[in-house]
Amino acid sequence: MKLITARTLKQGMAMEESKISQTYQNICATGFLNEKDIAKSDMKEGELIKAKTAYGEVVVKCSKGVIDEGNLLIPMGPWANIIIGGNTNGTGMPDFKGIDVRISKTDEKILDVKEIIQKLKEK
Amino acid sequence: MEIKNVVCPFCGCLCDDITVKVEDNEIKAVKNGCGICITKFIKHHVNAVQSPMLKKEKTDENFVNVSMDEAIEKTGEILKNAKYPLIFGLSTTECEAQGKALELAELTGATIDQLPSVCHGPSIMALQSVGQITATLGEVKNRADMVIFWGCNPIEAHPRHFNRYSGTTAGMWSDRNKRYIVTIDVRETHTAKKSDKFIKISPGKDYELISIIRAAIKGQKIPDNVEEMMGVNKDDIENLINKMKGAKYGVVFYGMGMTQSFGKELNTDGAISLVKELNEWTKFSINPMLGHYNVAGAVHVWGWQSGYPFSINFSLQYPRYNPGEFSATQILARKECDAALIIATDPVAHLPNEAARHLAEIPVITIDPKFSLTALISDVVIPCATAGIEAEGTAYRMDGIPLRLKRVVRSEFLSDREILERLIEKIKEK
Repeated sequence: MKLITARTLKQGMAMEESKISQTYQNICATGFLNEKDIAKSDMKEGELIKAKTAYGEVVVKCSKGVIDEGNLLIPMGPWANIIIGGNTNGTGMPDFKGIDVRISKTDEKILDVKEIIQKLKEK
Repeated sequence: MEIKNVVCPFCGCLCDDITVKVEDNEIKAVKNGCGICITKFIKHHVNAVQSPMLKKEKTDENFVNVSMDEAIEKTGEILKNAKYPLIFGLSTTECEAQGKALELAELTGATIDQLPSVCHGPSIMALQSVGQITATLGEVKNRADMVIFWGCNPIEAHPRHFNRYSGTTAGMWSDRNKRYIVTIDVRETHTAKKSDKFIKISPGKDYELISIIRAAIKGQKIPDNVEEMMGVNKDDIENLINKMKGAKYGVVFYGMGMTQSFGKELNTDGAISLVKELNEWTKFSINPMLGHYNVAGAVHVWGWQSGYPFSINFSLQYPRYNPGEFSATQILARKECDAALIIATDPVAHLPNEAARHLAEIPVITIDPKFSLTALISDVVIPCATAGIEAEGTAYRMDGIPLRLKRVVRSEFLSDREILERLIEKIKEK
């Protein structure tokens, strides 16, 4: 699958209020999939999925979205950024859109912002 | 008290018709704003930093409240001792602070970068390469009879753009009935739903579509297998070209769907070149949909001061520019900087983890009115008056029009500009 990260209205509103909030987590730690991709897999809307790229893996909540089959959309924020790489191929701009991603159902939980920061500190 | 014609400090639209009702130095109501604008004004105090703070040791969990003098002293010490500091952010503060930040970068031999390096850097790089035929949003409102949204979704990211400047608004010579609106995107966004035509493109195929249109305008045949290549059928491309050539005044707005996808500055270079070529047929303009409200301000101010718009390095005591080398993402991902001053942004939330991770290893100072994720891993946190709400200043709209931000409530803290002035004094003393 291809990963697309994008701005959303709710993400913008939550970001302006407080990033250290459950609302921000609920909005940004969500993976939007085409309903056919959800139906094809053993996943259900509302369940947790793990998205894995060459740069890392993150757990988000599966949600039906207006997106083509074969794409996963995660709103821009700390959760999406766990699986985005730091190399910009000489452009300065990371690949925020269009990188390869694999998804699977998971029993692991969504990290909160403090856990994300704790992981950042681990070498 | 009602304060009228307030400029909203959220996105590049800088809507200047906001009315803010203030009682006892508290914002009670906001009129005319979008959902994000209202949240920004009404909840500006939520999760706010209450005092300058520092950690005695990087590994400490808790901050200690200190005076502003102590915070400035500690910040000066960190910057003075650093061999290769990074100053990053500044796209959501006023131009006066942006100018002072560049002065501080020169003084400390720092690398200074702002947010285009993770949003519209490729737009600026293309502009430097091929120029840009641009228009004010007023011209768009009054004249545009064809609007193309390419890889952008203003209904969600710039919520009043469509109603105020580019979509349903009625101008002197154009209105929604006379305006043909096309959205080109990988998904049917809310903006696509409000458009007359939605063209769905395969992810990462912007450059191919732009090139096919440019070739077709010059008389080349569109290949029959074009749909296989980029997901767009031949008829849609031909109709789009006919509409473009037939428009009296066309405008392309493009967003991160173009700048962050495969091709990056080559996509924007191609789109600007396409618009230049369309001017052989009719009047056409192109504008980037700048997200943070004062990206354009820093591009102008740093352009005057150093000659460069972002990703500027002063380690040799003169400005050098190279986004691939000096962007905040690259410098952090390569673990090059040994201290960071973060102003009005939140790299821990907004940069790839591979880059943000280095911030947990080096001394970091955050200047921000709110407790950001970056503040949580900082050594020093300095609260400031929020620009456009608690501090006045200048900001540049996405089309390059400067507007004056107002102060609608008082803050006990200094503005970004004042904090940076104090830091400059402190560095000069040391």
